[in-house]
Amino acid sequence: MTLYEKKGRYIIDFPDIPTKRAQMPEIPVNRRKHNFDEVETGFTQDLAVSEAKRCLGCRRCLGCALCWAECKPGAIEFGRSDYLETVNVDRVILTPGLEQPTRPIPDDPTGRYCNAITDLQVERMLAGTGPTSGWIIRPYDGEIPERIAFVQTVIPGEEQLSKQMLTLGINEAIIWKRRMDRARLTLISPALHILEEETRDLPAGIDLVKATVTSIVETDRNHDIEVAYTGDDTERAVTFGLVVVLTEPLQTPLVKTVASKLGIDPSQAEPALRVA
Amino acid sequence: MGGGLAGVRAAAAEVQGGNRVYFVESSPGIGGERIPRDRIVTGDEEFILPPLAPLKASAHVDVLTHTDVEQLVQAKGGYEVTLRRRSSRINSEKCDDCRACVQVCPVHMYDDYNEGLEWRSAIDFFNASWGHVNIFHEQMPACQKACPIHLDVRAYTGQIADGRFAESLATIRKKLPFPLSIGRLCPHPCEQACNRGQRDEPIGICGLKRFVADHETLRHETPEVEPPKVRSEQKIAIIGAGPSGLTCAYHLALLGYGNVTVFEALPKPGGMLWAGIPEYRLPKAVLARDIDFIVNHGVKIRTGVRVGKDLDFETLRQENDALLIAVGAHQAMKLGIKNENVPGVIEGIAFLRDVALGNTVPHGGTAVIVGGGNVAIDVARTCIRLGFETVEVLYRRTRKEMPASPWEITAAEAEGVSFRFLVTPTEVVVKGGTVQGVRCVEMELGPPDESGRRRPLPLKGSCFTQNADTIFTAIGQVPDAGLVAKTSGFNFGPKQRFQVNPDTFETDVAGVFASGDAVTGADIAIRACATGKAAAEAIHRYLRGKLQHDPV
Repeated sequence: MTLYEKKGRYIIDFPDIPTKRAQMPEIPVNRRKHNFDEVETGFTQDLAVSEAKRCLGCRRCLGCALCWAECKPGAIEFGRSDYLETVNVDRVILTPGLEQPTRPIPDDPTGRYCNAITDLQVERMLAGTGPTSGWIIRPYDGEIPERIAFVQTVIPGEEQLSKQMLTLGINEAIIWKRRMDRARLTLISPALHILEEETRDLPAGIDLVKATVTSIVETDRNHDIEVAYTGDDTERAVTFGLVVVLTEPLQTPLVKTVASKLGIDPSQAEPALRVA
Repeated sequence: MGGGLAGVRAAAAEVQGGNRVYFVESSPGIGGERIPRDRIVTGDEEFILPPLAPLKASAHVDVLTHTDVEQLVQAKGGYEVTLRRRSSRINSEKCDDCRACVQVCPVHMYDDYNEGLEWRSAIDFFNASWGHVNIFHEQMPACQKACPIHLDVRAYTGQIADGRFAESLATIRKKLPFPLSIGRLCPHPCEQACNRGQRDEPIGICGLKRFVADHETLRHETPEVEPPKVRSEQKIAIIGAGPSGLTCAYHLALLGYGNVTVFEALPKPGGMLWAGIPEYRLPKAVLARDIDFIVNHGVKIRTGVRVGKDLDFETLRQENDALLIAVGAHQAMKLGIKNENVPGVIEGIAFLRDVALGNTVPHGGTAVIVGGGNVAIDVARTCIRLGFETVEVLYRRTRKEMPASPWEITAAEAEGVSFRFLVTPTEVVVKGGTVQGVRCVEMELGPPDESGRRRPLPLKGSCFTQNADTIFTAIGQVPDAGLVAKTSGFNFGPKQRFQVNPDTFETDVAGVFASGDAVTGADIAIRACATGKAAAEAIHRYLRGKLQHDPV
């Protein structure tokens, strides 16, 4: 429930800022015997400046008080402090929700290519209260994409999890298709057999491809993305206007901390109400 | 607890069942639309909307947003829950929801409520029906919060990005007088906390600190210091010229104390930075530069004086207005096995000190090091440099549990140190008075112990003998409390740690403070600096009070 520290955050890449951190220069290993010369030699000025530019300058409210000056009713009170309150209860129900980091897939495109997004971002875009009032747009140019791929990777033995991930993806495709009829959606996953029965009558324009994604690369043209995959008897590379990565749900730290305070094993907790 | 869809449903069900509900959520709002994850949608079905109406209608539910669970204990057949109601900084009774604040807010932060599809300002205005408008304010960024001395990382990194190197160094030195040294050896908890690490890789904060410090060395022969103005003649003695004692002395000097003397038992100042960190990680000349900077603030250092032996502790206490014990943790812990006290078995920390002092040390044959911390790695890499043919580290858990920094382990391996995991020595094998090797038993990992790491348990019948010419022990250090008499009124925690009031750093003897490893046990240098700085502030408060009660 630490909402402000979410994984999978989307940060725009600026071309002059490296994504890899600077490596500390060192003297070679074969020069380290029979002497005590300093091993690490320090950043050069250029390396230091480019490394410092990678800093995101994280900070929320800076206390600039512009809002305070603007607020006519005088409602902004910076001096207000936290307080503690104790309540006595008979039962505690934990409903912490799930944190959803992306499952590692080859060349994970989210955050690297602007037209690669997660299923959770699609969910927000489809939502009426979301940032795009229910329309799906490409982050790069705001266009409505026509060729869309959903991609999933699967760890063997986690059928239930894969099924949940896939169900969300298919539901998003169905709702998407209702809103934007020209869309052609392709779901690429090696685990499609899990939902074989439920997916017999999908609307036209939603294709299921049982295959494993081998590479995801941005093309020069229009920031489209090429997805290569291998199936039982197919091996193809197809270009899409938008790629959606299915994410894997994980427990949030809240469950662990509260459970340890209570001395219970969270895996044994009774799932009173399941998130649909 | 948890204000998402499942939480709203559970709360609504409880309310409808006639129960009283406290509904706790950490963020400023509740709710959230979700697409089903347990079935394929049919018909017109789309989003599931949270049933907020019953919560709005009922008087039996307290929606506590922006609230964290601080404590939860079983009591009276139920639970007692302590909640932290975080301040929203907005008075909801006065707020008329005009949202002008949102428009002027210059902060553009990652919009976590929309999965980062947009930016939002530092003011949230949703859930206005519950009046929970909120300014999202943090005391400090993640890196600064993780740093024990709370260096303003964001500021000095930004100054480097702008090419303002001298200003950057000045920002660091506002709190930390050891930028050259800490910039070389800090295990940088700030980098583990860095938000950028969630995207690609954390910022190389430690290397940047070193860069600005080195940059000054290249341009000026001596650090430029403007000696602080002396405001008080009160006398303060500090025992131990390590990172903690010297950071304390530096901050006392900045506060205007002109009569601060640091007593050091070793012939050179620096404490563990001098005697424990090998030259290849922190050259003595570089450390000396940091210490010169501190001395130039008017701090006096007297080396070669061991309090308790060369100088009586009680006399020192009476001659000074305040006293700080910052003697570090230099006493090695014993393995507690047979033949441990023969000449070929050497305490790792004593060995590193002897190397620093230039004393004769063993330098050939096979070295076996027992332990898994940074001292063990320092000893191993020093042995490689001294000319030992074979250097092997024995550790009773696995690589994953090793307390040493992972990059130190990798570097040691690259230099030729080998590691043997899940083994514990049981006896030193001696023949004719010289060490032949060490008898060991293999281990397996059992259930976790109180430190949270899995406890190693011996495997029956798995004994073997490891040949060795020299055996180094490096299984931890404790403070040496020998400087104070047993009857002097001090109290000690586990492993001979000086017991202090955690807020004031004062010991149980009036006017005597303690900081650094002497209080925390062997810990990282930056934490020693941090406690030294805190002790300086506490001593300042103490002396101000003393002055008022007892004017000169």
